[in-house]
Amino acid sequence: METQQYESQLERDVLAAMKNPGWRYYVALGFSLTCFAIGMISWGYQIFKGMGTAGIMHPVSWGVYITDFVFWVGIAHSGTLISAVLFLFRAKYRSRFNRTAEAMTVFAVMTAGLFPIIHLGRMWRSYWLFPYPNQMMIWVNFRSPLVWDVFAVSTYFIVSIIFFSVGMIPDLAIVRRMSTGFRKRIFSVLSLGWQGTKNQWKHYNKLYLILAALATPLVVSVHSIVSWDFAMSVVPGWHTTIFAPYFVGGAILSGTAMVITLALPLRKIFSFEKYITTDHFESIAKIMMFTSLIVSYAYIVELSLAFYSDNIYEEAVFRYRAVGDYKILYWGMLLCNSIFPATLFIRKMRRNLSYLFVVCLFVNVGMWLERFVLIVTSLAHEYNPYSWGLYYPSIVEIGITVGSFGMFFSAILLFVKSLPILSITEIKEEISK
Amino acid sequence: MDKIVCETKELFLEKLRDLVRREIPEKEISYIIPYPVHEIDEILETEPSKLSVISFGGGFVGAVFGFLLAVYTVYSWPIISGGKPMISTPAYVIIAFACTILFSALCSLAGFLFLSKLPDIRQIASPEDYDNKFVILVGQEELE
Repeated sequence: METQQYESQLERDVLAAMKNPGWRYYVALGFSLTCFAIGMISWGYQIFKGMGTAGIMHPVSWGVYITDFVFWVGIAHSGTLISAVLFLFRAKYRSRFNRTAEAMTVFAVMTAGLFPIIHLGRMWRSYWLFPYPNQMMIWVNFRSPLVWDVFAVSTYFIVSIIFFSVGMIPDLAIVRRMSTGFRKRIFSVLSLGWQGTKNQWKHYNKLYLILAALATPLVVSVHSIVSWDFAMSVVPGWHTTIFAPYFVGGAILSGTAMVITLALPLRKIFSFEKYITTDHFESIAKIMMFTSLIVSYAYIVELSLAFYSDNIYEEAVFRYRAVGDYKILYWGMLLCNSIFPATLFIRKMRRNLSYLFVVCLFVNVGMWLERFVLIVTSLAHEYNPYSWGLYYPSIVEIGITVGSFGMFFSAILLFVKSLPILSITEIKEEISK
Repeated sequence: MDKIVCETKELFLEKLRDLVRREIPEKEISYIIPYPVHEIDEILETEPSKLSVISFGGGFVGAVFGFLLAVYTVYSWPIISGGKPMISTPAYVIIAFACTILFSALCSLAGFLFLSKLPDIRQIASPEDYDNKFVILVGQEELE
């Protein structure tokens, strides 16, 4: 009887989160949409006036746009880690975060996907990135890491959407059951007429397992491929073999930080303390600590490789990072990604959720800085001193970056009020055991 | 057709065991449950889902397609770039890998919808819900 009460309470609580947004919600949504509008206006201005409005120019031709791209793809990663990898490992705490994490993945990949197109300049030709038989009789160059990226990111996007929507089908049927009128009609269609019959569950369980198994290699592969955009070139500071694991570690670090950044306020707003406990947050914080160690280790290895290489260009770039024009960003990155997360080794601090939230915000900032430092310093200080130069993002680039955050958070806010944010069925299954 | 509605999982499992004990053919036993119950596998011998075959098929086709796409396009205008061989296997394997996952995921989704007969138009038009109850249906093979 107790389980039944818990189940119906859970359903009511999750459904309650989807109802009647208060004024705070509208203020938050309004703010996010304004940021998004700023981004769109900036992009429109760039399209209208040309790429000269962006700060990227010789020698730094990859700037904030590529930084944003790598940042958002990285954010997407831990969504798949939590939903797929932890599913395969049967980690129980996953069920409290997976819906938020999957939504985060989908929206982050959507945001990320815009940046290569923004960076292209003539974005109306972006479809040239895909191989298709055409009148010009030319194909894309499959040896180029940028084409690998197109394949990796679009596959990732499609698989994430499938995973997100399939995982929600039984929950959508619950929403259907508990709503009336027009809303019931909508959720009847969205839940595809799910009933939970023997046959449906049999294939559903199998599908979920298969999708988890398919998404798991993507966690590793997508950011590895993104890292090869850099590592395949001969630019000092980029051309190293550790880039793939270094990027994957970084991606999961930033992603788990973002999951906590999103889940903590949601828990507070919807009073989900009963369902998402401090223990659950602690488990995610441990993943964050672990990946922070990987990233810190990568920083050390990167430096050591440069200084043992006896290659003056490699050495120069790393010296430039630490003491050159962008040194504040470099040390800020170390502080945010290595020092702050290290404090979480103290159990009391990791269980102090306000402190954890602050650390996560720092990690988010730190991971953005990491990509910026990595991309810009190498290009600004390449081989030939004659072509050294500095890069500062222009107002258009800053506007578009603000817009990307606006887009992401607007999507998250709309998701929160339109779909169940906890995986009701999975929590029920877990409780019944 | 008999319909047995159980309030709890335990009761549902008990009734299910009872039906098996009464030697009712397993094909005639169906159920509607709110969440997966793994204990059922110990009571009923459910045939494993054929979905894995479809996923594997999709993945295989994807791998072959991805690799051949790269090979075909490079030979459609053979020009050496970057001093690399025409068939640059390591590069093409990445394309093949991405296509494997993509095709496999899409085929799995399509296979799932086909095998579990979704979307179910009848249920969309007038959904039949049993709350959080466990329902056993006896003698109805249609649901299979």
